[in-house]
Amino acid sequence: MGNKKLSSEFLPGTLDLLILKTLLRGPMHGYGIAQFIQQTSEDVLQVGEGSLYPALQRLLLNDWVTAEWGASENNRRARYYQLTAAGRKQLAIERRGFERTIAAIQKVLEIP
Amino acid sequence: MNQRFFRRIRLFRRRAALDRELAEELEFHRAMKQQENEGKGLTAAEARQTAQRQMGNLTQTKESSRDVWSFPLVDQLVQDTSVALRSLRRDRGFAAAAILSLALGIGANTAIFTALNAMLLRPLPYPQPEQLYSVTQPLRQAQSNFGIPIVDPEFEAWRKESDDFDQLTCWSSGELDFIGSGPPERIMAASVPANFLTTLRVSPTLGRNFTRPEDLPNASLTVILTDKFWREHFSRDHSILGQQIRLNGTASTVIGVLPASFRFPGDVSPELLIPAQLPSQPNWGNMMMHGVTVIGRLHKGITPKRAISDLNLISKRQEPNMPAWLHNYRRKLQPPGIIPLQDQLVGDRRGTLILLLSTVLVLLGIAGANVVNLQLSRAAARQGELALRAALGAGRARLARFLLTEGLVLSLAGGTCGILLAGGLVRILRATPLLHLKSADPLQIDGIVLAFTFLVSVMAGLVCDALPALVMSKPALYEAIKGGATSVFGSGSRFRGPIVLGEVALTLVLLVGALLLFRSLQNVLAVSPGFQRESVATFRTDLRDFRRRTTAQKAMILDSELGSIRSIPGVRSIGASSSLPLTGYTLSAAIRIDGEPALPPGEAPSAPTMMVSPEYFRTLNIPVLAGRSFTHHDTDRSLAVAIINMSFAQRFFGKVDPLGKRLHYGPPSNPWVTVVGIAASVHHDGLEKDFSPELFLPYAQNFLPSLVGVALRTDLPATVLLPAIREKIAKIDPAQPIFDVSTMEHRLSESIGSRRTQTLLISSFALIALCLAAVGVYGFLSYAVSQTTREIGIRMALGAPKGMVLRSIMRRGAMLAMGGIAIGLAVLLATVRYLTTFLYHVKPLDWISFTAGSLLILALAILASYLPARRAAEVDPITALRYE
Repeated sequence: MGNKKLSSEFLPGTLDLLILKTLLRGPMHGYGIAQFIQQTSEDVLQVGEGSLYPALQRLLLNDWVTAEWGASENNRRARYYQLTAAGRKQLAIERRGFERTIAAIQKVLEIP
Repeated sequence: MNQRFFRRIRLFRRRAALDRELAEELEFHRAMKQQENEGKGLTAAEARQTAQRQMGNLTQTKESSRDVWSFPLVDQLVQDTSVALRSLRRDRGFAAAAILSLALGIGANTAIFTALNAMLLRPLPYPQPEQLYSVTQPLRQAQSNFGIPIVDPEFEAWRKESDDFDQLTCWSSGELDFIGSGPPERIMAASVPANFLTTLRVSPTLGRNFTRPEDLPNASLTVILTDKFWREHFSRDHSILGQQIRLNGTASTVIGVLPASFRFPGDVSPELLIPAQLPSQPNWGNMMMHGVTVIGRLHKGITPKRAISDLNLISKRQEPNMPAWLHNYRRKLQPPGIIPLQDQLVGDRRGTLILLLSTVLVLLGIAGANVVNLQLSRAAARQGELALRAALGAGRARLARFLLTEGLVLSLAGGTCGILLAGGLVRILRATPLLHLKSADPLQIDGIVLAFTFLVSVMAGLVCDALPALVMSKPALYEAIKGGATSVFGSGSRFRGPIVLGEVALTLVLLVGALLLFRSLQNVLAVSPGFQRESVATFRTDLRDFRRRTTAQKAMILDSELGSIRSIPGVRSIGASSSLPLTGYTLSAAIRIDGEPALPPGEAPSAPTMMVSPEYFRTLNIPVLAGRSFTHHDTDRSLAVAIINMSFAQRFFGKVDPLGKRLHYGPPSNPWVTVVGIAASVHHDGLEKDFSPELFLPYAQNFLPSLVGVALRTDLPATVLLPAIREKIAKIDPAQPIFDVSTMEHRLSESIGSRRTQTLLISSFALIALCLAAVGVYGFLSYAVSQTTREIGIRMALGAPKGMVLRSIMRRGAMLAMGGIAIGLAVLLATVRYLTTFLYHVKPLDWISFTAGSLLILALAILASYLPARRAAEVDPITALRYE
């Protein structure tokens, strides 16, 4: 159930990692997650809805996040995602994996 | 993983709510984007449009989000099915024809499989049935394993000495008189040793099994009832245990009742079990003449081969003890053999079963071919629709799957209707004597049968629809949408000719088979039984040996009973015999003609012997061809006389005139008898059986067995006379049972019942096949005509007369039929000999059946091509050409 649309832009699984990391700061709705990633990366990383929502469903299915309806900043009904304990653990795992991959890529690139 | 799967199922069940939530969430996202755009200074409308554009394909986002937690395959299946149902509803005529074809094919197969399952596949209703074997002794010239009973001392020796069997047991059956609350009844009983039920591993539901002492010779009688007997005579009264019932006038204590599910492991259905009371040592001096059927449960790990060679060794050791006549007799036998009990129970019904099974398989083939044909025409007709679907983005696999789903919906509907049809057929099989259903195999449509039907339906769906689906899912997009009907003619149609040919060929095979059977039945029906069949009522009675009457006493009782029944108004004549035609033989005696040397016992030829009353021949209208009939003057004080039948005269006297010659029958103590008459031969065992040499003796001069058949000439129905007859007999002996009341007509019709049912069933299958083939030819030609309308239009525009067009289409139908017939004849030549055992006075290569079958199919094909041909002839050239 990998997300093919993402693999061309990101390393596989990176979107999950970014979402989990974003949620570490507290509950957030889908729009907010996309905004946060975009702003924090200074517009380098654009999260399309076509990838974001399937990814959120996948995280829900794995019990890494839970979702609850709440009121947004401007008082609209929005669905807030919150990290679970399993999600935290997963974040650590994925982060380690990601760092290893980056380090590996770095090594390849540094070959003179 | 598992946990995730269950979570998914949970989510799947809430999918409507989830869909709504997702939609709302995406709408929120869109609204936020819009707000963001407004913040950048766009107008409300512009902000809205931009947000919309930025969100991209919302449906796709929804779908791929949904795919995360849902089952896309299930979704598609549900979707495909609903589309299939919709498209079938549009094409009701096609759907009905396809479902009907499949229902007929699958229904017939389900019914026959039900019989096959009951008789061959379903294990016997006893624990570890695979350990149960039957020991039989085939005749030397017989091909089959199904032998004659084992003499009881031999069984006793086996039981005593063989240690290959966990249990070795036997049974024999006989009729008993039972007097309950009504008139005396005749019931079937099995006498079994105490280990009979333990061998089968069955225990009574009520009470207990026989004990060893109860099974010893001369022990007081005990009895175990079947559930049926208990229900019918004692209304399942639990206090029956320990009570006494009267069997053959002897008080017998009821010690147990068998479970309702109990099936007797033989070709009889006894109502109760009584102890066999066999001696524990082989007693060759006092053997039961009718022998026993031996059943054993082998020890684990012992092969049947080893068991039977051990039994043969034991028999060899017993040989010195056997009486001389048995020695001679055993020369006609093969050594005992052993076969699984289940095979023994199926016996010679296997042939009938295989015949029926091949018939229904052929029928299924024809039905399947028909459906393929229908599908191909339909798919051709909807080429446009399929092309449109393809143009809208459905891949070839998607189209094929859609067509297959449609096929499966059809075949499952056909299978469901087929089960209903099979229910009716099974009822016919159950009610008729065709399969001689034994108590051990009741027919029922159970889980296994349903699974079979499901499997056949799915396979039929796959096979009949895979071909059209594969061919048709490759539409020539441009051609089809352009609407040029003629340009798609050709795809798939090249399969159709051969399919129709095959259909016609298979139908011919079935039809000729049915005709052969039908002609056999006709031949059997044309046989004159040799005795009066109309206006003859018959019954059997038992003069009951157990009262220790002498033969003379019994003859006197019978005489006075016959006399008083004759006085009933409406009775024109009355005769009695120890065995009436169509009730088997009860006596057989070794025959020695005067002047020939005496042969050792067991080697002398024997013939069925009947003790008859003087009016026997007159009552049954059996002509006495030479000499005289018996009279009341043939008594024990006059010359001992005999009448022989023609077959006996030919067999024992050859060219010599038998009248006045003396012959000797049975044991040496019997007197010599003088032949005074020659009677015409009759078909004693049924119309299909050959004449047997028969010896008739007046019962007044000989011994009279207790079992007697009585025949009356009367125009009244047997049921009307019965009360009067009962009354007359009760006046002489109130305890004498009257049973097996019937008419000769009925007995004759019963004797050919199984042939009649078989012919009827196979003829109906053949007729169904004929209809299906006619539909096949019709469909093929209609399609061809509809596809070549333009060509026909051109031909007619160029001046071809209507008659010519009509003839050319019909010629095509006839050619198709003849091609199919040629193939069918070739198949028949190769296979028809397997039918030989089912035929009567008809050669397998019977030219009448072959010609009639071929002509019938040809005629039907021409008839079926007439409608499409007329449609072709009525083509208006202008319309046909303009249409393009």
